[in-house]
Amino acid sequence: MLDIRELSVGYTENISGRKVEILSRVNLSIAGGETLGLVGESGSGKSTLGYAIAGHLSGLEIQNGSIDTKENPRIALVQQNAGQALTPTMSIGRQLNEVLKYAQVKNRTEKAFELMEGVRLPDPKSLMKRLPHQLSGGQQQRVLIALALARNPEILVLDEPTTALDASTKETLLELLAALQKSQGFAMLIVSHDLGIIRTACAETAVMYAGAFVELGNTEKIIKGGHHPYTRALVEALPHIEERLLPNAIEGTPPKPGARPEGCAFAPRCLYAEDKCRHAVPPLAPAQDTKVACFFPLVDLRKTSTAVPEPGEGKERLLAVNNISVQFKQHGGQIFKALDDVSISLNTGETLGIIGESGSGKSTLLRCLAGLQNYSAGEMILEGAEDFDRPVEKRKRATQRRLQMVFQNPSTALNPNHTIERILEIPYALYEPKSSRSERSNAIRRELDLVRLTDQHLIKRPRELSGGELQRVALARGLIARPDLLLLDEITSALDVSVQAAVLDLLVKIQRSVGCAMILVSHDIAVMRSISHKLVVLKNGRIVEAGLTEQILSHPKEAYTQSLIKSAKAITA
Amino acid sequence: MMAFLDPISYYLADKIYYLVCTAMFITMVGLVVIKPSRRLLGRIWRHWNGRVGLCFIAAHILISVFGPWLIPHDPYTQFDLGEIARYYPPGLEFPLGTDDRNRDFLARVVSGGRAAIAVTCLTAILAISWGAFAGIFLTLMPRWVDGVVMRIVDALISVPWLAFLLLAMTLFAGARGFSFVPIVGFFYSLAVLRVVRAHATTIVALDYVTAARARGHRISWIAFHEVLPNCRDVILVELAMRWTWLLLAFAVASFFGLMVEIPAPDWSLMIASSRTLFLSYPYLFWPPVIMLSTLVIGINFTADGLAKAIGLDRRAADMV
Repeated sequence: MLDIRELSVGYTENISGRKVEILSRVNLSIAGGETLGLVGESGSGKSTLGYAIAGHLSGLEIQNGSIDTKENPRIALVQQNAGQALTPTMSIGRQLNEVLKYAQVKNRTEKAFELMEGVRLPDPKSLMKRLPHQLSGGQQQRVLIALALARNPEILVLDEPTTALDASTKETLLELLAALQKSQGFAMLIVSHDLGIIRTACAETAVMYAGAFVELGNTEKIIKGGHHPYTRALVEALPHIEERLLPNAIEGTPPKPGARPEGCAFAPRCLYAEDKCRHAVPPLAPAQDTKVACFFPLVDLRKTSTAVPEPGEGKERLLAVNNISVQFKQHGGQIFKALDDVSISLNTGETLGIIGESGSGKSTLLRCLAGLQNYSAGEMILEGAEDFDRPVEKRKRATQRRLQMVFQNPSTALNPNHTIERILEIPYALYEPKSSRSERSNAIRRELDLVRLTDQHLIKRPRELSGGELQRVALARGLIARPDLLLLDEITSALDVSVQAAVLDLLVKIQRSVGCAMILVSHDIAVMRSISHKLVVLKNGRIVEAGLTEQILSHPKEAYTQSLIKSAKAITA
Repeated sequence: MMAFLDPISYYLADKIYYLVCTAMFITMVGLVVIKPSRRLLGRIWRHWNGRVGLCFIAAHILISVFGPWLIPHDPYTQFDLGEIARYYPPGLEFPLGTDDRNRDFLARVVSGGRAAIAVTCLTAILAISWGAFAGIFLTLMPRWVDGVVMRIVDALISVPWLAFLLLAMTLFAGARGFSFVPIVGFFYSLAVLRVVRAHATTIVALDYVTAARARGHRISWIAFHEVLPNCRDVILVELAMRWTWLLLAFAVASFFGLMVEIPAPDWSLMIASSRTLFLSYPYLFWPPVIMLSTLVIGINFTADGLAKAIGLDRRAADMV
């Protein structure tokens, strides 16, 4: 169906005329009905390959090799962000109609209903009239798939199809794709950084690094015992859902296109690299049960993850939230309860995890604690602060200082106009207005050291740093105030798994050295298991279950918690 | 000496004009010398309209700064040319001829933009600073304050500024030229306010502003340190764009005899007085028309190039 030979895709630099490769010499073939997964960290070229197959090169050029298909292949692409891929001002029905018109289908209304039913959208008649923003993320993703299926594709390329979705929605979407593939027989290419969904959906997997395949083979074999050091490192960077272990981070960062090293691209980060690796590029060759691009493929299985320490002795109560409720008035005058009678408590030096699907009120709870959200009933007590129940601008400076917040997306949480030095100086100058210049710069260096960044980052601006480095800066910005409580809002969900592992490791180390308590909000159970001591499960603004993390995850009492764990296990490697 | 009916205004305008021209000359040299701005200039130059705009503006600045030294005559001197009473045709002595009082027309054309440039430059700065300030603060205020103020702004935008200008000129007869600055400045700032506010709302929704709030910073601090630096590009383009509109507004007011008065040289006034003669004496009509339009087009095109160079879409900004 699709045969790619020695494909290199890249661009030519404007001034120097130098050719820069994004994909280098990729070989690939898929037959109808097959599913191939492409995994790798961001910048590995996996999306570029997906888009190149779909014929969307947008400014890039094919520098070498070819993409062979049969004549006039029907290839459909499902883009990454469903919310942005749909035209916001056109109803779903009109968008479907437009695509069907282009596909020269005659009974367009009938066919549209058929497609909507095919992707199992409820009540297609009323959905047709709605605009994209009136649909949930999962529904938008299905509409996008329906649009892609309108021309009966032979090859379906899906770019990160599940990133914006909850665990249970992910599971149903992957089931749907499998069922559609069975009935229509198209070949599928799933591009994702999430090994979990690749494992669920794809029989074959290609692991990409720096624009090339490093390993290709059966998905189970790659995940259980990959032979390339990078594959192994990637799998070990995943948080464990079954055991309380910290995942292993991969040191260093992937090379940028145009700055790739001579020899094996992974060699600078590889624990097993030898001289040969630094001079020659290893070809993709069969090794035991997979194809590996490595001179020294790994054979034995090893596991070196470290256990998470329990909080130290001598704990005192730090925070108590009693029966708090938050209400919003909706358009029709209805009252929507974002939080309903929620109580939590936290001791010094502990980590509390708050888990729930989107819309469960977990972010609202954090905003309440930060004093950014008014609540209608209940009380909040922070030991040693009388003004904690007020909004943030009415709290005393000393109280404001005791509580710091870190956000989900570091690229929007840091002002792009400030240097890293300025970003760290602002909170310190706010809480220590009388500090001298040398005190400030000492404090800034101390925090940088704590989050393992160096002096040379000080003069840079956020756009010059990678996602992981930015999140470290954001952490340092919170820590420079030396808070008693750190609020972490999904801080790893925008990061690659290897970077996520490094940030989780950092959090544990910070807690050990600074001793602050943390509240971690996440939808990822495996992340919770690796670092949080206590856990609260939220659903529709109410607490479903609360207690020690280990207890809840190994013996969940409530049906909702059980289903969360089950769907997380189903799509976790 | 200037025989000008509104001497205070014209005196001020003359001084400010020299200030503006010198400042622009220094800026022009500075832009070329300093490296990052040279890069920006280079990026403006890459777009054809930026190129045309920069050329026009450079020509205007050179003419304004060096013109008066190169031309032998004063714009106010009336020459006795014997048998020809007026409208002496272009020649060696008077390259653009003379006007109805036999004054050197070239000298008048060269200095004819003074009042316009000085007054509109002040007005543009006032409109931008006030509009940007209010626009940014509104986004940080509670929602009901924003709602009330914006409805008032909508109402005021529909009022013609010319009516208010006439009213103010009758009230403050002393320095009427400069009553243009606060009145028109205020009305133009409303449009700036809407554009800047629209941009600032996208900034205020970002996490770094929420982070600043959660740390406990005051609203004024957030406005100046977190929001304003990220609105700089929009404000810069607005400044250049509004200036062209203000030049046109000034020309309109002057054409009706509201601003600069006879015998002071002013392009729109020259156009007004020679518009009935332009078939018989085209050399008295076209030079001021060309000067005024090249200045307006020059600034407008440069603003366009600037917007493209820093990645803003001006058409989108215009619609707000």
